[in-house]
Amino acid sequence: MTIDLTDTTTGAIHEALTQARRRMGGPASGTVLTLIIVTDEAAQYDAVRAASQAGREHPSRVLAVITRKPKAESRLDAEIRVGETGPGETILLRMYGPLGQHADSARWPSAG
Amino acid sequence: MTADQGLAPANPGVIAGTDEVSAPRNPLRDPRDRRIPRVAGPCVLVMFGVTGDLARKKLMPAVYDLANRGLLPPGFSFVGFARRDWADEDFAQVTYQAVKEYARTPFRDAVWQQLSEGVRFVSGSFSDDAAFDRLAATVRQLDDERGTGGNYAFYLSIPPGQFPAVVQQLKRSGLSDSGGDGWRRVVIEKPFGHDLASARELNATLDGVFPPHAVFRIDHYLGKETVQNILALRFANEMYEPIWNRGYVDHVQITMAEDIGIGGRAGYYDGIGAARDVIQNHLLQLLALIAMEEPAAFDADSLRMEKEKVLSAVRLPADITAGTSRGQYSAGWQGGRQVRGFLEEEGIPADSRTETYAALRLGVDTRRWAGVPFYLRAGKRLPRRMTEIALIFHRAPHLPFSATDTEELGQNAMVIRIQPDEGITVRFGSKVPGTAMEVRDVNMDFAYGESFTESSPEAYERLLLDVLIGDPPLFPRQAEVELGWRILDPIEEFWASYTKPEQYPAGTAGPPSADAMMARDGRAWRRL
Repeated sequence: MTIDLTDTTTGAIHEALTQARRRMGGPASGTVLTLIIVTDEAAQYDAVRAASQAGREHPSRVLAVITRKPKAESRLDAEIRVGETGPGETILLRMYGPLGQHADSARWPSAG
Repeated sequence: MTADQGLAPANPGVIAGTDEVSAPRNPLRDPRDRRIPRVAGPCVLVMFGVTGDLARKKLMPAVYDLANRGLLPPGFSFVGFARRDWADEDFAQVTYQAVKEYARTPFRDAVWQQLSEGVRFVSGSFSDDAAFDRLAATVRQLDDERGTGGNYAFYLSIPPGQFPAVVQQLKRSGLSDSGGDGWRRVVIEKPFGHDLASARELNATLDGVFPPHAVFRIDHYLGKETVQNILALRFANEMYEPIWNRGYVDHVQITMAEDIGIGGRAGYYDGIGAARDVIQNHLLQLLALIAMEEPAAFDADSLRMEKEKVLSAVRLPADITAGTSRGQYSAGWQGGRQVRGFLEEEGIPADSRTETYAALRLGVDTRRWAGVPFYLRAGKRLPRRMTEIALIFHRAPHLPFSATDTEELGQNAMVIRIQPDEGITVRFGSKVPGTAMEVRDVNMDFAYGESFTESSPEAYERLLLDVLIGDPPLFPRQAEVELGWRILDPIEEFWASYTKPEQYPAGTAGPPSADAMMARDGRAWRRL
């Protein structure tokens, strides 16, 4: 299942994750590790695929932080993949504008 | 009281008002029967402050949800009182919109039709004698038309400064006097004063007009299913109580984090601050439920007695500077958005010393908890919205593994998540699969949403129903409120005279002094 959230906040992402977990019967709440990838759009696909493959041996949550268009207005888009695509949860955070410089503010909760 | 009391002594959930003239009991109904839901008797709910946010977003939807679940009697009537030039229909329209927008149960026209027949509105100010006389006439008329039997609940969803005026008016117009038939109840919301003296004053205002058992103080946290579950967890199970003491528990962390700022509440918040706003009531109530001894029965008196006992055993840190911390959020990035600092919020003076984050280290002087610190923290503009209670256990006294085996092993913990994502998590060490011996932390999780398909009722629904039924265990008594202020007052006084809140960037986990406070004890806050 893939959930797309545009112009969102971490609170909303968290909510969506909780809902998704609930619907799936809670696959990832016990996941031990979170792998954070800081990347750009071009390298994102390969990086996430590699992480998902590694995740089959070391179950983890994958969090990709992708900075885009530093000159644009600040915006946070999220793509949440649960279930089919990988062993745990995969979350892609796309950060536009100055937000990219403050990526830690958005990473925090979802990595909890 | 009826004879069946003898059959079911400590029957959870069913408590005949011990000090109250209860409505006549239905002889066909056994209080032990769980199959029939508890339904309120005929009554009128009179609400003051219907134009407020709370009324619109929580109370009106809760009334509808109760009606929709079939928990209100057909004759139930809802009267609004405010300074608006509205007719009954206008008020019904306002209620209709609030219900449409915020109700949790699906909208059903039949239910609404039934409910709206009992909706009335009385227009007037709190100093207007004639308006209260009209209110009295309105409810009496409802008694005649809809058979509400002279049972009135008054919900004061208004600032405490206006309580005296309203209460006096209720007395003057004869509304507060039941005259023997029917009951009168008054519901008030926090804040119950801003210190001990004002809490007493507030109580005195009510006390002259309503007897203590008719005053229902709403602490909506106690209406939450997860909070009530603390009692079930502790006292209905065998597993936890033996380790629920200083022998096993290293310390307790009670956290209430909000990701929002103060929003439009500047007028209320400035001068109040996080400690008075939520620690004095919600967090201390949680502490009481976690730390109290087993009540003799699950009835209002036994529960409150145990809570009062443990609250009166709470000890303040010897050095308040070292044992507390407070902060104010400054501008920063929170959850992916750029946000203003507290001092830049509209309506907050630039030199405000009100805290938006407060942390305390309290002790509980009982045999069970001697030497176990309870860390309480509450704050706004923290990384995420979360309320939880974490019991952190001691490390095992001896580990037969080498230090490198258990490098990744933390302390065992039991976390009760109050909101969101209600549930319980137990953290313990487990061997990592592989040929080497390596132990690291894993979680075992119970989530309400997965185990029960029934969605838990909204706190206000539960509490409103309890008011209308007259079931008091979930409402704090004046003594508890006063004990809360007794704990907080010395700290507030000290803060006011000696300290200034420290700034923390919005979206971070609080001021450095809060972390330092934990570090001095060799501990750390749980991550938000």
